[in-house]
Amino acid sequence: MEKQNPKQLEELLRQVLQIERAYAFELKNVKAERRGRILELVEQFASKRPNQ
Amino acid sequence: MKLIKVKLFNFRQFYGSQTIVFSQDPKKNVTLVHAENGVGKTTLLNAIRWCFYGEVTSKFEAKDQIMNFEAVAENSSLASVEVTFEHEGKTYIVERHFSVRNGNGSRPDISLTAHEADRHGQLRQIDTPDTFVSSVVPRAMAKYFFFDGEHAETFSSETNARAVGQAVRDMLGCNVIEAAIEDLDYAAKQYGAQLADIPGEAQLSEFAARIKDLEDKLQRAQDNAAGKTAEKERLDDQIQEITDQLRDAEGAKHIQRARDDKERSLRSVQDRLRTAEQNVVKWVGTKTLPLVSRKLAVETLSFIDEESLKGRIPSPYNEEFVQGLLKAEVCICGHELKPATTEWKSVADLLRKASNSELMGRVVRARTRIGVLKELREDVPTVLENEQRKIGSLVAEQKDLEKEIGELGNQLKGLPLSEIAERERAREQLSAKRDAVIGGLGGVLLAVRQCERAIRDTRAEQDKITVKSERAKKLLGRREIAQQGGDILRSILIQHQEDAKITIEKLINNILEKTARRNYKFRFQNNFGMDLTYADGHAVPKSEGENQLMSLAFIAALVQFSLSRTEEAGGPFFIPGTIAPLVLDSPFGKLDQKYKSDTAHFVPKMASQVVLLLSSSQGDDAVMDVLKPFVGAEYVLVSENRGPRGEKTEDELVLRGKKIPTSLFNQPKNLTCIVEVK
Repeated sequence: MEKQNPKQLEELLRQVLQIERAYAFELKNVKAERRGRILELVEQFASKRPNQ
Repeated sequence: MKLIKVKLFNFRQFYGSQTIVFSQDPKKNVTLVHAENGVGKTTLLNAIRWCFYGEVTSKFEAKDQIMNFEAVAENSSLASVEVTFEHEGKTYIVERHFSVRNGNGSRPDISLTAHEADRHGQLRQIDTPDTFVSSVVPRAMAKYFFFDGEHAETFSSETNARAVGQAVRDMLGCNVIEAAIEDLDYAAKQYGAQLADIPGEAQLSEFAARIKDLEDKLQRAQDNAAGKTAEKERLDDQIQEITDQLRDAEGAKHIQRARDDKERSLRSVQDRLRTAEQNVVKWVGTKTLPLVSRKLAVETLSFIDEESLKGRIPSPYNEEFVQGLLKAEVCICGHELKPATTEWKSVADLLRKASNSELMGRVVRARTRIGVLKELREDVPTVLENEQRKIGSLVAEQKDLEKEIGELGNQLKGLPLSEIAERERAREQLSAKRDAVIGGLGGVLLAVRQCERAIRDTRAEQDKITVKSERAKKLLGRREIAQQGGDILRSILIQHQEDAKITIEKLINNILEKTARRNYKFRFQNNFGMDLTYADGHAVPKSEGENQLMSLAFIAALVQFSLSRTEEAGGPFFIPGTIAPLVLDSPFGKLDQKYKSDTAHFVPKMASQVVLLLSSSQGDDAVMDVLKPFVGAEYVLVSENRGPRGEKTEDELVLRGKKIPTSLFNQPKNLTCIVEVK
């Protein structure tokens, strides 16, 4: 499998961490909602790339 | 964040409404609260934690009894704690309410409200108070700012490594990056699972099924490891309890203290042994090239030298020069060089031996590199021998210590005091059980690692399959993205934890240098255990005040570390540190007189605002003399009792030249009253 472009991957991780931060102080159980948003992000990231 | 005031209403022993206003003066940053044991020091600390997070310290007794008994007797149904504080230039009021409906037996309602107060005192409600409070002082960090010093041994005890590691991770604000890793791993797993259902991709499905089995196996192994870790901790606690009893028991204490010393040395030796073994492995991985390439280096050098002697390397002719002569059709001697003549062929023949600048460069580089390898080879046996000698002596030291510890155990069992011998036997049995659990845990952790490796390898194999389906390609691509993202974050987390460990270690040593009366060296073990040694390398016995000092220094280092962890320092990966007051309950613990005074010098500098909760034995004259210039507000908790004094002695404190009774009798109610000392 091809290695991802480090710069693009870095940008994805930045966005992942932004989402995690938004939920960091949330005391309710938000795991499912949070994971859904991370999956969405990976989808968006992959669909912008050729052949993915 | 700075505390302004705390208002208690019917909270535990504090009947009615009672308030403490904290010092806001940066030069007199200490607020002192005096109270004898059992009157309410720890309750005050817990009132703040309960208000903010709805939780109390682990050793706080009768955690659920929030309502004051006198208030309950009067059919009152409400208790609350209100904390007013300043944060980033704004004032906030946070209040947690506790109310009971329909008398005893029903579940209480507990709710939190938070308001921002403007300059005119107008309040604006904050919609998500829990989230707001956690963003001011993250819950994970709070327990180190609102700290119960009486239980500081949590950090210095033999089984402390987990608590210390957790404290460092909490202060590092790891939860964001940990959640990101967890979620990316989950995403990778989800994409992998979908590969099993793609029509026409039988091989891919087969791999997906294998990976799914491995993931299930991994989950079981991880659960098993968690269970065994919990069991080990439970046994550790039980052993610790018996050890503490032996340490305090007349007739056994000297043997137990000697054993503490030996066990501490043993852990230090084992840690050094692990490091030395890791060094050898690391050294073999990076430095053995000169050793294995010895023959190659010798042969290559002699080849280059031989060829040099033959005049080929370096060549006496330069390729570009010979080509120039042929092109100009003139020899160096001036003769004409007609193509295809004998003279022309003789000059052209020189090209076979001629070299060019690139070739010359390569030869020089090869020679230099091989020369370096040859030089490194000279050091190889010395370096390895030194490491092996170190390992040998550490193994011998380990054996001696184990023998001595065994003998001390036998001495305890052989004591004529049956209670002590019985305790030692129980300790021995628990230790044997713990060793068995540790053995089992080792096997389970190995299984976890094997499963993780097998999943990775199988995924890599799966990636090599040529897939036709577009959907399969997409899923494989997405899984790879999630997996690579998780791997990057994992390595960042490990690096930051190691850096934090080094920084905190340095901070603790700086603090000890300023406060301790001897030269101590503090060191984290690989697993976050804390080692305090004398300058000669011998372990400091656990029962000594130095370990209390070490725990206090650890808390101070955590607070300083938090301060240094700005938004920029942690980048997007970590929650930044926080500036918060330090509320310390009984910080001087078992420190002796001299240490109390030395530490008192240091305590006001631990944070920009410090609240000290002290009993009279903690806040004696010498301590008070040191603290006096830093005290901006001072209170006494007075115990009021219904009953008569009887034979009890009259308790009083002399503060600022005034005698203040700390217990009153024949009072209308049983309660604790907060009295300001002016």
